[in-house]
Amino acid sequence: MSQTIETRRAGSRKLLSAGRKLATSLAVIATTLLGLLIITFVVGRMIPADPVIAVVGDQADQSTYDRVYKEMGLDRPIYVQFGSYLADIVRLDFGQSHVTKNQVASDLARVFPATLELATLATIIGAGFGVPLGILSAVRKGTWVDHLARIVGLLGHSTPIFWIGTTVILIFYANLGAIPAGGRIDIYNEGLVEGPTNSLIIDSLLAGEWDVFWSALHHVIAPALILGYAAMAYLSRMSRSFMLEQLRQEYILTARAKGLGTRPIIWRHAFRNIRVQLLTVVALAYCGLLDGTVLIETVFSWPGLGQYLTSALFFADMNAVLGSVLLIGIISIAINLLSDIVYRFIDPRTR
Amino acid sequence: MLRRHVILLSSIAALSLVAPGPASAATPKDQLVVAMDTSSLRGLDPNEINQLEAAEIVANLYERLIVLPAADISKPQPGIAESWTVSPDGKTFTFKIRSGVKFHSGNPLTAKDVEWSLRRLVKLGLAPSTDLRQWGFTADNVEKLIRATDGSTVVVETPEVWNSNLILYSLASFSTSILDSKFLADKDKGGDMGREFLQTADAGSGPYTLRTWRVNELIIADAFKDYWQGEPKMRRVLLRHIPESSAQRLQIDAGDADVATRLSSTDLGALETGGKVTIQKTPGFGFYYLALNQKDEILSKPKVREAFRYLIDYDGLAGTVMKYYGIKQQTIVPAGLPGAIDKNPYKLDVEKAKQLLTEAGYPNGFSKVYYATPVTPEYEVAQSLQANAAKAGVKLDLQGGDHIGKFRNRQFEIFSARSGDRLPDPHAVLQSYATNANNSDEAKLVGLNAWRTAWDVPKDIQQMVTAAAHETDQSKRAGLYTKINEAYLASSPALVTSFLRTDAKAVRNEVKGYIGHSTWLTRWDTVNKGN
Amino acid sequence: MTQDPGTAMTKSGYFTDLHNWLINEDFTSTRQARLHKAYVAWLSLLANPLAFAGFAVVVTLVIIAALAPVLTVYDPYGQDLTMALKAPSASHWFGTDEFGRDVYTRIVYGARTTLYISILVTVIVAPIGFVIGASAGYLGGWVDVVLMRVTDIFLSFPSLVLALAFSAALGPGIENAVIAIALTIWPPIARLARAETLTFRNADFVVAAELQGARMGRILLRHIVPLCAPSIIVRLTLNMSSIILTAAGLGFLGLGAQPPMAEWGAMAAAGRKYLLDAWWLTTIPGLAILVVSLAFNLFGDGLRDILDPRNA
Repeated sequence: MSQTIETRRAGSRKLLSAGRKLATSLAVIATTLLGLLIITFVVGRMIPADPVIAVVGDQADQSTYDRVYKEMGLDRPIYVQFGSYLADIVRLDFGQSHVTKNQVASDLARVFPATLELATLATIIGAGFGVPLGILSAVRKGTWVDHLARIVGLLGHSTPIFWIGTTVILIFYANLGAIPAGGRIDIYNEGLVEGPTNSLIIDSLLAGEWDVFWSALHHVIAPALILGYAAMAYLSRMSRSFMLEQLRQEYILTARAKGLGTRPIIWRHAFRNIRVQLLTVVALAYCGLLDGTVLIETVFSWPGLGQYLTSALFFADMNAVLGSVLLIGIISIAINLLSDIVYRFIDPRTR
Repeated sequence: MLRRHVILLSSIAALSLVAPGPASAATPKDQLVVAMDTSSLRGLDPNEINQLEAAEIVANLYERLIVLPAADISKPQPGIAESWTVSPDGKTFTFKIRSGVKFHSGNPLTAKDVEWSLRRLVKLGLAPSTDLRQWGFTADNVEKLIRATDGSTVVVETPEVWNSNLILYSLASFSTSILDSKFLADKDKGGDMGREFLQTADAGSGPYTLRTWRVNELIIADAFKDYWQGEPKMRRVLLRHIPESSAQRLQIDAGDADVATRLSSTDLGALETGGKVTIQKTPGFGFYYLALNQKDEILSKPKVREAFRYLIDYDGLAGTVMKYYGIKQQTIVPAGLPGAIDKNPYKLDVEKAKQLLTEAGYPNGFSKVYYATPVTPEYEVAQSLQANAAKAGVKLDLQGGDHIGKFRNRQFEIFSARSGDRLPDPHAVLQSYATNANNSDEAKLVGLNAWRTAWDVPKDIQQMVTAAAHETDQSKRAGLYTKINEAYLASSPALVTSFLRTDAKAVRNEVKGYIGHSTWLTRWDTVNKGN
Repeated sequence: MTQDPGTAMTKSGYFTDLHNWLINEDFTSTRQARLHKAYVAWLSLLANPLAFAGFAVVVTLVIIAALAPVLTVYDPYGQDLTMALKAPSASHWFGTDEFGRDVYTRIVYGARTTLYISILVTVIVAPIGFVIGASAGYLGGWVDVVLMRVTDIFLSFPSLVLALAFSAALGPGIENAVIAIALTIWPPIARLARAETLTFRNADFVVAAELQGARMGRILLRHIVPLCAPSIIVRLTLNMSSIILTAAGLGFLGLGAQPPMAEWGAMAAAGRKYLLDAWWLTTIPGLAILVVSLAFNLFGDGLRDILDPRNA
């Protein structure tokens, strides 16, 4: 009897502390979001190009200019502008883009899947090559495999990504004709597939449009491989050090002493233990790729978020800049948070 | 396991590299593929756009009262207006509207639509409204001055007497396109006269209808079956956003594109030698100019202004960077228009510039901030000037970026860009470069380059420009423009012209009838591929 | 330690003596102890060929930047449009660009720009990151919460996107690029400084200093800085590579350095317009960026093994 009360108390205490933890982390997220909003707002207002001219054109007379200036709400005090910006964001209204003349939210919905497709594929490639490479070099520490992996990894860290992109285009497109020049798909396959996921690869598969599928794959492969290489560099490095740490553990030595083969030791024991850590770094790599897409999308004319953001910056398209930077920030926070949660729930040590 | 994994992944990657992409090599016979840089495209409302690529699209989605044929741009031809008369006093234009013209919606085009569209341009008052506003039309008087008198007659009265060509040219501009007023009636949002709707849709009667527009990706226009001049040969026109010159070059070379519109001089040169492609250089009505702010004490000295004219490497640039983008011209009336003269007395001469600077009191030069837009070829021209100025002791701190806003508000020291006017008449250029009725900051004549530069243009030049615009006798006008041109050249202008703008396009040899238009109205319905 | 490959170099008697004096751990002076530490570090650097190669490249870069006028015959800004876009040859080793400028000369001068940016960013970031991180760690409480929140907000953006946004807001120009990059680089340094400070926060010598009435500034400067320095130095060296890559990325997008300044990223971007006719305009600046950034990574990696074995 007393025991059950004890457990109940302990349970409610646990619940209470869980609630407090939840409240704290919600507060943390809220302040981070607020900070994001402030930074994006400040950046948007500081852009030196004149957003009104972007709308009315260079030749417009002063009365037109003044009218549009008012229409855009730029005559109101800055804190009022920030307030209405906040209120709009809460309603998921990012305003209208001056360049595309669409709602920024609908623009983002259109360009983001393209980036997501590219980044996802790149992460798959990066993890697919990087993790085995890292594990291999940990297992064969000090051999030529290890050194090679290290150099390949460091190269990935050190290469300007836009430069590989340009060089790949020069060699594989201009000289060999092996890849397309850019874009997501051949122009004749445009508009054949409009699917639920907005990922052309998946949608065309679902629709059974093989021409579209090959065309989409053909277009995505070069940028995805380049981005994937950057991710691979990071992931092989991390998985190597995770694996090395595991291999130093006592249970591995015990298993070895028991006469277990290397392969089962690595895969059945060591790998299982680093799964969670790997998941976290893969998530981080995914975030990091959002960076890479900015440059690689410019090089490969990939109609994604990165290209949208850079062109918005150049044309002083404030709403579009705010919307896309905010989206990137929110995604980063979300991915970090998710990997944090996964880490907590899967890894017994942190539970 | 590891190895198998890696092999599997590599073979997937390799497979997709050699995957049989759909056979390309040549575009279909009944489709036209145009490679464009659409990054500065901002909507497709004819009364709002102000830019070359958008104008070409609008020109084919809509039609206008008057047509200016690409071959002889100064001769107005009937368009939607079957015929017209001008009253003896030169102030009243009466247009007879063609019958049997249909909008894409199926509605017939009537005089009411013309009235509504022209009024809309003036009332919205956005960038291209200058086309009518400069003749004295305002939101207040337009209801009275532009009116449909019956189902097929439109009367346009001008507040003052202008040379009739100026008015007719204006009514051939993309901005005076005729919109489907009935169709747009229920698209109005808060009195915007369908502005929001028209950003990404069309309501015209032109040979093509807008089918798809994905910003910075692709625009597809389909032939309009009920077009009054017959269905166009090209069933579909695809405009692909390809910002990179080298990518455009490779695609047109491989036959993946029929026309490429944004190529660098080296790429154009390589294509021209390749032989598969013809390079069209369409002269435009604008200049590559250098603006020296006259509020600046140093730059306002005539000798300093004159020195800058010796720091531009006209000939070096003409042979390289500007080979396809411009024609050397130091006068102000665009070549080919009445009053144009073939006179280019200046050349790069650093010593001469140094001497002028010394005479002006700056033997050791000075430094100034120099704004330019980082696009080809404007930025190359700017960097060339920067290097030559350095040799003469003038340090120019070149800052690339979108500085047009600062230029408009006189907040600059030196600025360079290119202008593009759309009236095939000297007045369009001269109004901006050589009139400035009130040079005070408060006047805010922000539409005029001369005001922006704070240049108090010599009064005699200004008077001649105004007189020429009102002159109805064509040969007297031409004489006046010759005089203005000479006077401008001799005035050490604060707006230095170096090259007349040309727009270069690469067109594959098998594509016939794609003819670059000087006022940006290149037609697609005349295109065929030898079929 | 005597089997270190470094000993192979010390053949003559004088060097042997010096080596023995330096390697000897029975110090007779603090000077000897310090020199000993540096010498051992040097020997381990020599023992790591990759790290040493990185170090050598970095040193070469500094020498090239310093001796740029001696190493070149052309003016990096001198234009000659008649010589535009000439392929590499004996007179122009790396060819010429669209203005007829010598690419080799501009690469050499570009080394100055690269060093200028990376050193300036580092000089700005190191003290700021340290002060923020160390005060958060040392003071704890709400100061810690606020400072770390701010740090996290900055960390939540991918760094290039943040740098891009800031330098677009500040306008083009190399100084603005430096500020923009600095704004994205400081948070990890602050995090590191905080973590390091926390480990020493309750160490005896810190508590003793506090009891003697030392003020916070003095404690941070006298006690915390020397202990944090190794890991922060390692971090900064590894950061050099990302500074260089970010600067090049900004230059590539037209922010960053403005003409006529020679900057590798901007050079590669300008050359992209002539990609098909003049491969050298993008390829060579790109290789330069790659080599230098790789060198900093290798050097940083080696430095970590030497200075900061805990985090290796």
